[in-house]
Amino acid sequence: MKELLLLSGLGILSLVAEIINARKLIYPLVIIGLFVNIGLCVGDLGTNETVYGMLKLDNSALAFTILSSLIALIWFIVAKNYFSDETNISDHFSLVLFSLVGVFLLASYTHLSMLFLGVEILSIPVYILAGSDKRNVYSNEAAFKYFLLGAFASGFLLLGIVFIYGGVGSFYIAQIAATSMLPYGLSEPLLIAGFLLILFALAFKMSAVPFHFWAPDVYTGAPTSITAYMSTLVKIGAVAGFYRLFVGVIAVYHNYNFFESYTTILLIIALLTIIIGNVIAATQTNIKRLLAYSSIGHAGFILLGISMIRPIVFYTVWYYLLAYCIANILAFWVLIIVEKQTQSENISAFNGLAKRNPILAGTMSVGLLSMAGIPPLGGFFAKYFVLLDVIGRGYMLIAVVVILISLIGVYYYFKIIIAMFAKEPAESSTLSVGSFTKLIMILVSVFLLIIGLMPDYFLNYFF
Amino acid sequence: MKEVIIGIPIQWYIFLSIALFCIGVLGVLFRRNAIIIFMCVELMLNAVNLLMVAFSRYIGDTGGQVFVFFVMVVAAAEVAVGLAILMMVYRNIKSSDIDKLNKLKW
Repeated sequence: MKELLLLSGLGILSLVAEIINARKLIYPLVIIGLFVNIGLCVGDLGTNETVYGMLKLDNSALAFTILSSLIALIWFIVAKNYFSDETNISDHFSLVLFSLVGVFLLASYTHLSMLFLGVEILSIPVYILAGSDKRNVYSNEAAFKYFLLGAFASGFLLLGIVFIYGGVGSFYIAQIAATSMLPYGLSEPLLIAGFLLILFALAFKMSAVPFHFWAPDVYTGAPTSITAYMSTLVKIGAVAGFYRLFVGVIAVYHNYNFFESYTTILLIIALLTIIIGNVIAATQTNIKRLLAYSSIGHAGFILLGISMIRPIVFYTVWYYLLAYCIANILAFWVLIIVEKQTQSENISAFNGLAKRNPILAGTMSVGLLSMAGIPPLGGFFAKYFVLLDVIGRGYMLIAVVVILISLIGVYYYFKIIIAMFAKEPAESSTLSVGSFTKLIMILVSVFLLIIGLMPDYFLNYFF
Repeated sequence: MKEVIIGIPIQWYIFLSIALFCIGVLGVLFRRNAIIIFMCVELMLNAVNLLMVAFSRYIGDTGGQVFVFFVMVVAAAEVAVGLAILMMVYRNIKSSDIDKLNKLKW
């Protein structure tokens, strides 16, 4: 409850700050607020507080909230220029904070109305943020596409929820899990339709194949800072929401006939997502589009992790999200700086970056290597844990296919790294960044290394 | 009259709602005017609202009827944002035809 009040309070405060002429205060206040939020979550670990029966702050909910606050914290530092360029910054702050409230609801709901509200509170601010570059036709188109398809998908989510309600007679996850096994009139067909519709709607939100068509367009059209936000925090929200439903209902009764085939459907979606995301990413030359397709591929890995969940093992998803989000936000950080300077989103804009600014090139490399899954960075162990689960369940063939596909990933990430280190720069001037930015970049890169070297420390803390 | 309404079996409500929902889906897929598409999205949400109330009455649980208010509020917020985005698009391309929005391709 405290976390919810804090995040919404910060959002309202930054709206009001414009009126009371305290604009300069917003940025530090938000940063402090997010730190306090992480502190509150750590303090609440193990308490299992329930909020009016609608939310339950168990350890997995708090772990996802800590993750989202941490990534938001890094994002606010990354996107500092985005805010200083705008005239009405307080609206943007409050929109970002409100969508964080959505992530919190998705991470902790026990009642399906909170799932719906969480998805909407997460998405509606992001529709606006995607179009925040008002005079740019690309940004307009991105916002419009995202809005239209998002609203369409939330219709399906709602239909899924109402079907489950009709089949089970309750919105509570625990009650759905308990009654979904009992014979209940017309319940079973409704239940099947309901769960499938929710899967499709949330797969849309986390841009899984075959619901991924919006992602590359929207990611390319939106301002780059917002793309960084969408490819990390929106994904955390959608994954957390689906994870909670899966762990609460489907993993509990995984032997039940329908839930078994449901897991198979999820597995197929995950595999298709990994294959299509990585293969198309290899053909891209626009770096925002490349990162968009790579984020689709990572969504596939996360779904693969979810589909392997049994009630006992479920830290893989959280750890994968942690490693992916930090690596992704590092890559976007460098992209924002380079893009601002060269006005180009092509890979050629990165030519010879190592000569122009070694720290930027190093940070980008750390991020990309982690996403490619090179040890000892976090991304390697994230992939390793997922594959360990896959092999442990006896899907040897799937593991081999996934490893082969990841090699394509290594190819296109190295394309950028080679451009940075081996090619000659188009202009020889150095690309300077502030010392504070450098410091934070190095800190975040080291953090990515630390979570790779000592994954069990982080996992034992939450799970 | 009351007996007639109570006597309608739940299946009819399900069929009606799904028919309305499908009309909404087809509208979103095949119409080209952005305003009409917004209306079709609204139709989808309202079909769900109808089904929610029907189930709520059938099961004898008021939760569904309360949910409908949430859905209405969210739908209103969504339309407010959507129309604002549409206005922004209209200022730039002077049209509400979604086929004109084709700049982003791979």
